[in-house]
Amino acid sequence: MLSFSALSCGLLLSPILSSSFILAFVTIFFLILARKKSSNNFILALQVLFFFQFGLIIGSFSLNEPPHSLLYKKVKNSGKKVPVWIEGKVLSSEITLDGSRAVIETEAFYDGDERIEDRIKIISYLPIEPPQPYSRFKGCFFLSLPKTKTNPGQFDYRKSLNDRGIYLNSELKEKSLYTTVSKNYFFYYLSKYKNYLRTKIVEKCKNESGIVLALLLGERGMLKDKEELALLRSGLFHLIALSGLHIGIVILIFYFLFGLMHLNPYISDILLLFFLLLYTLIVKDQPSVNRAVLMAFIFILARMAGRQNAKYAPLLISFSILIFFNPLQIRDVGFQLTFIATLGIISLYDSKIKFFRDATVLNSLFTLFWIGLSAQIFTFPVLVYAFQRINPLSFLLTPLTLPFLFPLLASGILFIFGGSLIPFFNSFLLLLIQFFAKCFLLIPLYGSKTSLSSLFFPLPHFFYALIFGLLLILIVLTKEKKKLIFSLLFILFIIISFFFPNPFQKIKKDFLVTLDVGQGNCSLLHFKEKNYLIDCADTSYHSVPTSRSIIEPFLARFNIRQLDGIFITHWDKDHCGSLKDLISDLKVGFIASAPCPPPPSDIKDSILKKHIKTLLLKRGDVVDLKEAKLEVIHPDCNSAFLSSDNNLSLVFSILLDEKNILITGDIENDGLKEIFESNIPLQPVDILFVPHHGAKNSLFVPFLNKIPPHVALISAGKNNRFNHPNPSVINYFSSIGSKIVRTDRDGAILITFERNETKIFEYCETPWEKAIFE
Amino acid sequence: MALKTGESKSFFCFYFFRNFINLIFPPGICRICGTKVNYGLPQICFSCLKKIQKVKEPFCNICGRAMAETAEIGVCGDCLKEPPSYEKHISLYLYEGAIREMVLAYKVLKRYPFYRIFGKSIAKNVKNKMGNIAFDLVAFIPTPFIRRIMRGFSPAELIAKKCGRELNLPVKNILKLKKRTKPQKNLGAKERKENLKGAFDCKEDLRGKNVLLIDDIFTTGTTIEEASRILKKCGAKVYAATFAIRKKREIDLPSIED
Repeated sequence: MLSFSALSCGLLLSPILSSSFILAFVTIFFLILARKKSSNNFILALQVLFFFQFGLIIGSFSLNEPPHSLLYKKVKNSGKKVPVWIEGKVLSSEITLDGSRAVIETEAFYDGDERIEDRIKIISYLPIEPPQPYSRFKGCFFLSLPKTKTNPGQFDYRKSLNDRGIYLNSELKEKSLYTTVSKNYFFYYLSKYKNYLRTKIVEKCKNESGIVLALLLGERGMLKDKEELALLRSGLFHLIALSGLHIGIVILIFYFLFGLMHLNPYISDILLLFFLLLYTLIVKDQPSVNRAVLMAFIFILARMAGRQNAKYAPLLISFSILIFFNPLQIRDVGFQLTFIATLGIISLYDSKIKFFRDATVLNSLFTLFWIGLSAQIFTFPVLVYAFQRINPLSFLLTPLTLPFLFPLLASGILFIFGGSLIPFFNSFLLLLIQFFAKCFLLIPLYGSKTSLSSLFFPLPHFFYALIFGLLLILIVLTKEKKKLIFSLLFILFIIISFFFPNPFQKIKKDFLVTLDVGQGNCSLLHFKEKNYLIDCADTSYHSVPTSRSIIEPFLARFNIRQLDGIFITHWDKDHCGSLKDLISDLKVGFIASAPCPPPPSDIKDSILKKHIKTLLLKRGDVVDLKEAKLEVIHPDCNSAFLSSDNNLSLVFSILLDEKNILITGDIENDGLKEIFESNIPLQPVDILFVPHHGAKNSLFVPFLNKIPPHVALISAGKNNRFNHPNPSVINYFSSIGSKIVRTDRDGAILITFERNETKIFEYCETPWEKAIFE
Repeated sequence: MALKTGESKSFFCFYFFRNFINLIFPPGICRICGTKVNYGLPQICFSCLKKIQKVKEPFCNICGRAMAETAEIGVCGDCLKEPPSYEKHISLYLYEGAIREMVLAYKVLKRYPFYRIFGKSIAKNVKNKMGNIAFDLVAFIPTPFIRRIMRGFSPAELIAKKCGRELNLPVKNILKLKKRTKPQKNLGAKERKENLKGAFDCKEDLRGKNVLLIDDIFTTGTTIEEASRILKKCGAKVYAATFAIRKKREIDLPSIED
């Protein structure tokens, strides 16, 4: 029966879920467990499989299908932002730096004067304070489809929203366009209390309010970029996810209070369940906190029933319950991380083993390291495949934060549960919280400075994924000595996969990739096994930096961990913003730029710190890159002073074999005119990087007439506020018969050079790996 | 399964309900012999439960310890040498095997639902053996605050409360801890005495009252002796009742806890 259910489970899974191989491992794991051990595990395995199937069947009916919503079709067909009046219900909301973010569900929308009933979940960004959950509203929103991925290796925001059942993105332009119609009183008072907590924290904690809100309520919207980056780089980001530590402290505080009152344990446990439920309603809905609360519920209920807790039972049961509610959240990285980390701690950590005799402080410190390490070992595959980086020092830094984190959370939870209402006590608590938050922040800020704390990890081959999965199952199933051996083997394979990430595939062709980094430039030129980066933009705004979200995932996908050179055309953020991150993560040969405007001081410092060779290029310079030749056309620093930095952009052509690529940066009419007048011999180019993202004031026709390109490459952001590229530029290039490729329309662009053939691939259309590796 | 272990057939609904609970909280194996059990609380199989030994008939009339069958007077040698402060102590079971596992599960693994079983059986025992005495109140051995918080409950207090409810007697927290005591379990007999010296305090007027003092186990008797000495000072007549008693030869060995 078990094999039958496993088979049907596998059959069901494979079409539904893209990550079905993880689930296949889970089923195999349960099968082995059930065969080996007593019937309790057998029952449990059956139960989990049953829940799996049941949840997946429900999920396949309700979630995975595109919605039959009229609103969705309307937005999809228009392809632009659509202003629509909507009536609906708020499902959840949280605070951000410039307003709030909420998930809403529509009930009806207005098409002209006609009211059309329609149900669809929408994520919306509002310039008001977070609306109350389950309140009904009426408002005018600008609807659009969420961003999908346009680069290889990029995180797919649209898909992750679809997994949550959300299909549209919306913005509210003005406060006055939103009115609350009616409210749900329980959630009204709850969210009023939550707003009160937020305002108190923001008022009193000031600079630290972002981190305090993230640690106490799980709302990361107020977190500053600097803090977020430090947490990411030091590998302490998991501390921000509300999880077992928070729940443990809630339980401890309430046991303390109940102990003072001499309550009967039955009553105190029931009260505790109630308060845990209240806590989950107050904080933001996250997979980690759901998991921790469910596990705590199972522990407490088992104690009340006088039952023992089997080792893996609470984890598996909470897993199946969460899967039951939304099977597609198994694709969510947070969900995978919280469960696999807990599995690691349960299976690797053994409370009986002690390192030292009679040294309680050292012992507890070592157990903390041990717990951290076991979680880190298990989360490694997920982290590498999701973020392409690991933090080897994370398990050492995490225990260091505990002396600050523990009192912070303890006073914070007291603050949440009524402490905020007591006049003088609340400001005292907030003072404590602020102090400990300040101390806590020092650790990620200093921890992120060492380069070892965050390693760039090229994507290992699928073959490694199989080995990792197999070894993890073996670690879970075996005991003592074998467990240790398999863990060591696992670490060995991590090291092997770091040095030989992809032993079976090699890049065979020369290619040029222009990534879609939004309103900026970033291209990678690969020829004769050398990689050169031309510009590296950072266009992120209140989110993960571009280097992390786009450039490094791309490099990881194609196993590039060394850049032989980076060319920066000029020092604007949309051309050099990611440089600092890239040189700290990757090995860089040289950095070439124009001599005249010097680089910003922070970038200069980091270049000097890493001892990277810098080349200052000016007109007439010829750089010999062994297989290719590089001729610099502009700027000529001796000539007359030019009006702006844009006009001092580096302009150079790359000659490889018989191809000729001209890179122009952000040069404008004045600069082009200067080149034109200086009588430099110009010849037709194969690929032209259209100057200044296709702006109107860079269309200097006499110059362009001299170099009619085969391919005109425009790098601009979708719906950017400068309206680049200008229609006149596009008209000009189509009139002279060159092929126009645009990142805003086509996504990332790959151009391969093979003998005399030049092929162009747009990301949306063809799989790149085939084109590059074969 | 229920039939195999020799349980009575239960009502269908209950049977279904319990199996559902078994699904969520696996009942596990017998804590002594390792065979499967399909119920929760004592978590000890029937064959092991049958081996439980009660305190048999020739026991000391004062301290309640078992004596040699040839003993002529009803009082043991120790009690003759050093008469304890309490009038009488009774205990139900010998602290070994299943009973020991149960008490350890209660105190170490924090399975507090055991307090109902312990409280009920002590109350029954008191009714049987000390039915002629009119008690005024029930007292218990207090637990240090920190240990109570860590454990979530105070073992003797819970049992005493259940016992008082069964006997219709008021339960009062009259004994107060004056100093922080170490856990008794890892100490020898002499150390136990020193550990507890002056540990308790009582400030109530108990003249002419009969107090029933309740604890979970009676190991060397030092705890009960010290507590009842304090109560006697306040003028009370102290009677003690515990759930389990340890055999005398084991006293000086440190117990093996899991």
